[in-house]
Amino acid sequence: MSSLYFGDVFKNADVLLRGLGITFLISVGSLVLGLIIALPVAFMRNSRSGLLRFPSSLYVEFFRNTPLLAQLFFFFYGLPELGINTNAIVVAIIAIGLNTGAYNSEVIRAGLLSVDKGLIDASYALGMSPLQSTVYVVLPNAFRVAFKPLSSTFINMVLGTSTAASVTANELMNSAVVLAGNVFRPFEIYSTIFVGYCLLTFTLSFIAKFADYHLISKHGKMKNALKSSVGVSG
Amino acid sequence: MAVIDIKNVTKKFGDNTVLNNITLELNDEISAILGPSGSGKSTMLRCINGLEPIQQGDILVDGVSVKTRSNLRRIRKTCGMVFQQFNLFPNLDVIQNVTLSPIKILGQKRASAEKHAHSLLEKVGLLEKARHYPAQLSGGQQQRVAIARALAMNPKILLLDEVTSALDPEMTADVLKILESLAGEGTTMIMVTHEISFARRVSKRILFIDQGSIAADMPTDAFFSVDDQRIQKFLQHVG
Ligand SMILES: Nc1ncnc2c1ncn2[C@@H]1O[C@H](COP(=O)(O)OP(=O)(O)O)[C@@H](O)[C@H]1O
Ligand SMILES: [Mg+2]
Repeated sequence: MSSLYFGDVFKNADVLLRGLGITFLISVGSLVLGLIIALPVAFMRNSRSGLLRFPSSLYVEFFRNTPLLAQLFFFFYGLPELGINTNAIVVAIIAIGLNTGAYNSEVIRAGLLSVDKGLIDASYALGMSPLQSTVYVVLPNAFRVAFKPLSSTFINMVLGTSTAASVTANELMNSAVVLAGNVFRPFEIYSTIFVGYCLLTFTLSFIAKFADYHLISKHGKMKNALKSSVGVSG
Repeated sequence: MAVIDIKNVTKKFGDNTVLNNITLELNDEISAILGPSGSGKSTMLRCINGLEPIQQGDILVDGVSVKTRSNLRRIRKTCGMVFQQFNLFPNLDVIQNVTLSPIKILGQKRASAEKHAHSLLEKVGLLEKARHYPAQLSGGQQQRVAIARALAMNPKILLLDEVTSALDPEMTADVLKILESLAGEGTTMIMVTHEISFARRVSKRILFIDQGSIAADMPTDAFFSVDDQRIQKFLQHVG
């Protein structure tokens, strides 16, 4: 039974830090993609037109009812077959972004539905067009409600980026696996990356809490806090 | 020409006829709409500014028909509306609530919109709350902001839907005081209210709605002395 030895971890700190950086990159990329997708999908799912609802529901249900890992493999091995050559990081951003977009769209949709009908009446009574009402009243108030659940979906997604290790994206998890194969110190290496993930998620949830307080909660309690029934990716 | 011309209007929700063939002209004066709960008072106001579509007849606001969708924004600029539940935008502070539409819809410059907003907030006694958010205000204060917000669009007519029903008596008095001073300035108001003594004091004309029909339409004095079973029963009930 050998004792704990972190020397190899420190010697290879650059590899792990680089992994952390790529984890961050995939997270931000997926976040942006996920939000860009989620907003129109949320509107489509709330639409009265079946033509808009059907494809958006198909997308949401597919990504929420199949494993993220399988989705990742599908894009990593599937895209080249279609002649699209990709790199692992880009594939990870696409797959994880699409996955988180499905969850985000449900959160945003619930946010949109939570906006008091009276506010929409008031906006129309003040002479706003449907578009103005949406931009100036519905979206900001939906966002206030959706912000907290969105930030928790995001943090879950950051942890989910570790699945990208299995398609050779050299993010934090993958770096740890490779390193553990070279120097046989799995306990030290994996406990170190726990710290790395925690640093990342604690920082993000701190930023989210700070932003929530200063942008939203400071201005008083909301009438319609979103019920926590909205799912979260994992 | 009447400011609001309601011609043979029928409004249904599904099979439920809520306004039944109403014909009515409203002029530059203060009218109160009274009637039991569920009789269609809110619906009538909401039909006037096109928040609810009508199935039959027509409503002309300043000569413009609510039946043409593209007229609705113009009609809504003519008619300001204040709601029972205030409906302030919770994401915006008081001054932003009041200036949003003047800036975005009337195209006013921020500075002049804010100047106007300040004078309106002074009028409703809330200038010192300009930078507060709705959730930081009492119900009565929120309703006074909502009145300022409606006035900021310089409407010709103010539609008031039970604006004191969600308030306790003290706050009700504050809001009524403001409405009374607006009345004194000659603002045209059409108000649905359960504040009978206020309606009696301020309005020139009373419309009594019962089950979607105009059961009485007369000058205020006449209304309170009329010998009508339904009206007497209603007045006893609310008074
Ligand atoms: N959006 C709606 N959908 C269906 N029915 C409605 C709606 N709004 C009002 N009603 C019905 O119309 C009738 C009149 O309602 P309302 O105009 O709110 O009455 P009042 O303001 O006089 O209390 C009621 O029977 C009510 O249930
Ligand atoms: Mg009503």
